[in-house]
Amino acid sequence: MDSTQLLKGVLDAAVLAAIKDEDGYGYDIVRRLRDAGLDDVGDASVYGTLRRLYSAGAVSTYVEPSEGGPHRKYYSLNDDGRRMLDEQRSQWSRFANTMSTLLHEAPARRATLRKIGDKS
Amino acid sequence: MTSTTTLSSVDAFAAQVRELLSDLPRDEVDDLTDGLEADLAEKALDEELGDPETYAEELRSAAGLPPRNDSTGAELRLRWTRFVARLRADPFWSKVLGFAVALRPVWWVARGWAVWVALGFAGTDGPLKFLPLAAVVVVSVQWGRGKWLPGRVLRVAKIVVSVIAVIALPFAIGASLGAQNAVRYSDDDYFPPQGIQLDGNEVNNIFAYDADGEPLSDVQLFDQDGKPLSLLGDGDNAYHLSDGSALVPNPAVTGGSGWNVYPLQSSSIDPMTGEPDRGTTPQAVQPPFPRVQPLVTQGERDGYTVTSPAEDPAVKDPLPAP
Repeated sequence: MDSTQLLKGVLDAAVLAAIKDEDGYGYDIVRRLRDAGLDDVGDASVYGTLRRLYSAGAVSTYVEPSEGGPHRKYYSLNDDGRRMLDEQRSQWSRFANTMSTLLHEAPARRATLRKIGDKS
Repeated sequence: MTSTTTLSSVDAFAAQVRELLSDLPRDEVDDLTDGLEADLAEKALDEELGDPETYAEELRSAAGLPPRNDSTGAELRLRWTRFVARLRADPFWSKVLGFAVALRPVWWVARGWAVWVALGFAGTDGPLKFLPLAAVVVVSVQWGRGKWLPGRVLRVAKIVVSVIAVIALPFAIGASLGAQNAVRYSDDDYFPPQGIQLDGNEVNNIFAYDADGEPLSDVQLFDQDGKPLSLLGDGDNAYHLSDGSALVPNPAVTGGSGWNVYPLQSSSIDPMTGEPDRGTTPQAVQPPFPRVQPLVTQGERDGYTVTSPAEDPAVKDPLPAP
């Protein structure tokens, strides 16, 4: 399966996680995600996501001049963003567990799975 | 370190992305692309920048914004963006484009001035007319800088004003040049009077008398260059006089070019057409003198006294041949 399709649903969480310890500017965040193993992540997708998270009030921004070049816009996670990250982390855990179960176990437990699936 | 070439291609790429997002509110575009150059410059070190259209679409969809509204206007703008991108890719045209972009402030001022002329202020008198000029130029420059344009209505207004200015500009330039010329050349730059002149007065007929002082008819006159001494051109068919009649070219010359055959004959004017009456034959014009004094000839040496033709009916008699 194309991993970019998978990525779409979790990009918010990935971007929030990438700046949870240290503020970052656009391409810096892209690099962090790639270094973490998300090789296919598109930089424009990350910037768009950052913009959306900013609109949602999850991240704050500030501008700093870069050495000898155009200025850079830094993103930092605020309290709302941390809450959102926590929420998405638990959502992801449940989802990942579910998927693991689904992919690895026998079809006998389908009923339970459907219930969780409905919820998410 | 990034080379200059990469920097300019980064700028071009960023400019295209912004243009492709231009259907969005300006604030949105600014927020979405703030710092884009810095990010792209770093990206350019690692990989190809790729296609700006794909990039803009990705940016848009990730930000949860609606896809580009491909109305006719948007489609045209997209074509324009692509066209400019192709020009930028060419070294020569990118230089021309750079030059043109550097001249944009000139256009902003010219747009303001053209609007001022088009509004009719240029023709008014007094120094107060420059107040509106200052006002429209300031607005035009601010518009050029992307300021003072809140809302879609004003942006459309800017386009309309620009189009009007582009159309009005040649006329405005022509009018102002003409006004200057009129001042500068009012003494010597006017058309020389047409026809024949004598000491500044118009000559509209010529009466020739022969050596005996008798009036001649149907005399063909030419100047020193062999040019017919025509009262009017070949195409003209009447020289209107103040008494309501008109002089006409000699009918004996074909093509209406008998304007150098004197004395010119007169014709009445058809009140319906304003043209010479074709039904009547032209009449001879009364000469200023029935006859004039004969020339000095052998006869004077023989004791013949020359008198004014008006006073002495004797001149009527032809002189005996010498």
